[in-house]
Amino acid sequence: MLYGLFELLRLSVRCLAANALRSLLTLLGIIIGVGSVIFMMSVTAGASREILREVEQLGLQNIIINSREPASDETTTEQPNRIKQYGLTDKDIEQARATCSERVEFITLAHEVREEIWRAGQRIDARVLGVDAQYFETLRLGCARGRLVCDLDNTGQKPICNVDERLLDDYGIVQDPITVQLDIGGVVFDVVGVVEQPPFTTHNRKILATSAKHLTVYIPAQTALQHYGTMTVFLPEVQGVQVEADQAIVRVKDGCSVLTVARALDRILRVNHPRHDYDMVVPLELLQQREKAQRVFSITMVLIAGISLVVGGIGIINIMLASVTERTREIGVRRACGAKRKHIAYQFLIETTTLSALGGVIGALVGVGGVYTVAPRIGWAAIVSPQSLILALGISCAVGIMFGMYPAIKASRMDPIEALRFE
Amino acid sequence: MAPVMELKAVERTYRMGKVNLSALRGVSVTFEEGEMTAVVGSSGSGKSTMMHILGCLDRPTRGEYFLDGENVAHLEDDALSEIRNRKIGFIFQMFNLIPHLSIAENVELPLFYMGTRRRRRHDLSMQAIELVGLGQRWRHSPAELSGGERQRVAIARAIVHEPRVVLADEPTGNLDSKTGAEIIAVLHRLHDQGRTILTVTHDNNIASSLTRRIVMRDGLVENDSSESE
Repeated sequence: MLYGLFELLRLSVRCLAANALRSLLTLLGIIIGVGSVIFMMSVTAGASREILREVEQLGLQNIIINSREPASDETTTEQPNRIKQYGLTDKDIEQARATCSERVEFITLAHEVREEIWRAGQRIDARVLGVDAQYFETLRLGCARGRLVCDLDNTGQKPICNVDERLLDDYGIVQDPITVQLDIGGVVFDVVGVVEQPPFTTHNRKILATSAKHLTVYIPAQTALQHYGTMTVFLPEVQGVQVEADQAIVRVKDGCSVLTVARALDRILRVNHPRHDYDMVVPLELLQQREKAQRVFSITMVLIAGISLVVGGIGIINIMLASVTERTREIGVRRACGAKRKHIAYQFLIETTTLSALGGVIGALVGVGGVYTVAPRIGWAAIVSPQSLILALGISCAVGIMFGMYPAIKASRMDPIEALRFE
Repeated sequence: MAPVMELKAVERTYRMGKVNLSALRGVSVTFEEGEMTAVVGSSGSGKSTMMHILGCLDRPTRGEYFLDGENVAHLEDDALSEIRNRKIGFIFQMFNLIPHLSIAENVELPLFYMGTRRRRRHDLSMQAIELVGLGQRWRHSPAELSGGERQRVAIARAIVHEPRVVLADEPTGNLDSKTGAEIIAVLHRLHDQGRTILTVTHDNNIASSLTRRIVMRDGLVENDSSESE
């Protein structure tokens, strides 16, 4: 039986090769369909991985709340000395801790010190963040050299700092960074460690940014409060800002619903901040939204690929019906030589399946080629999984069998005498 | 010894719309092993219908057909295919070679459906091709052959599986007289080797050169030379 199938397969290839151009044209639909399936699956897989990676950077158990300066017409609580007061307050954090204590592992705060940084007469354009040790852990910021800000630095209000790795490069600091001192608003800080350049995507950087500056100097939060307070006054005009906390990252305990905690926090903030001077980002929610968008994209692509495969299948059935008619006499001869109906049916079915499988292979090559050509250019990751190749080939064979069935049955039911008489 | 083929009161009726058309009206005839017979008759005499029944391509409406002692008149399609495959070789007026197969592959066809292995198929087909004098051309395609050569290939295909009977339907009908004569010579040679051959023909010259001659008319055997002797 297997040998017979192999022989029929060999025969099919001969028949298809005899009409190579026609066979190739017949395959266009299948090629486009399978190519689309491969492309769609690879791009979707790449995009999903990219989304997951991006959201994982922010932490799926985290809720990020940033203070936001309201538009000037919204600043109703402007003080007579034109000090803008906005954003998260200690009261918000205390209420959040009290309401969600059972579900929140910790809340880490970042306070931006709006002071200038100087080193050896050179101004360094970076933001200064007052943070605690958990801030680094929460955002998975690693230490490249020295050590990171720790709890003892905070309780001791020590004048030490960490700097971004890139800051050293950008300002040409080639000496041992641990010996470097920075002047921040008139206070000298010793650099005790270098923070690994975080691999954040542009989108994540935007989410985590407390200002437009790209580089960061981290100092202990308590040191920041001691030296700078929460208010910054800009001279010569008496104006300034007062922000108690620029960013709060809430880490929800494993097993607790991040979305429930986010809703509870939002309720507190809505009451405390009628001007809505904060932004809340829930990475998990972000992931769900993007996955939903991804699903819509996938479904659309599957539909397009499906339509293409159906069109391809119709092309195949059309050509095979023509082929059956064209080869009526051959069918008669084969029947006269002893072929049973099933032999004739198998022959045409194998021919159709070989044809569509060939379309599947070419389509897979086109799809893979397309993925590696197009995806990098539009900034998508390309992942061609073996499963997608197997699926594509499976689909193309299934299309061949499905659409080849009717011509095969039609051929097998021909009366041998009529077939032999066919002109 | 039992005859190779025996028709007993065979009738074949076709339904053409509301009308029944009798192609054979009770034909009884026997063919012995090693005979070379010509079946002649005008168009519509029933000779082709008789050949189709003898070749197991068609079944009688009534009557019995014994092939090699087995009644095959009412067998199912698959069983008839098997009998055609093992016991019958066909030669057609239009040669009926498959254009995209080589000569050897065309000749191998009956063996293919017998399930013969490829190497054995090739050996047997080469022997048959040698027998019809085309040994050097087994790789060629039918399009590269003349009409006479194509018919030789068809003859090789008809005998490659050592059938009990070779049925030829107007084997020279599509050939000029010289080539036709060559083909008849090949058939005579096969007959001399002991094969049973039945030829349907319009050509009286061919018919008269064969040992037995059956004349058909209006679906009946009008004359059988073996009976009149």
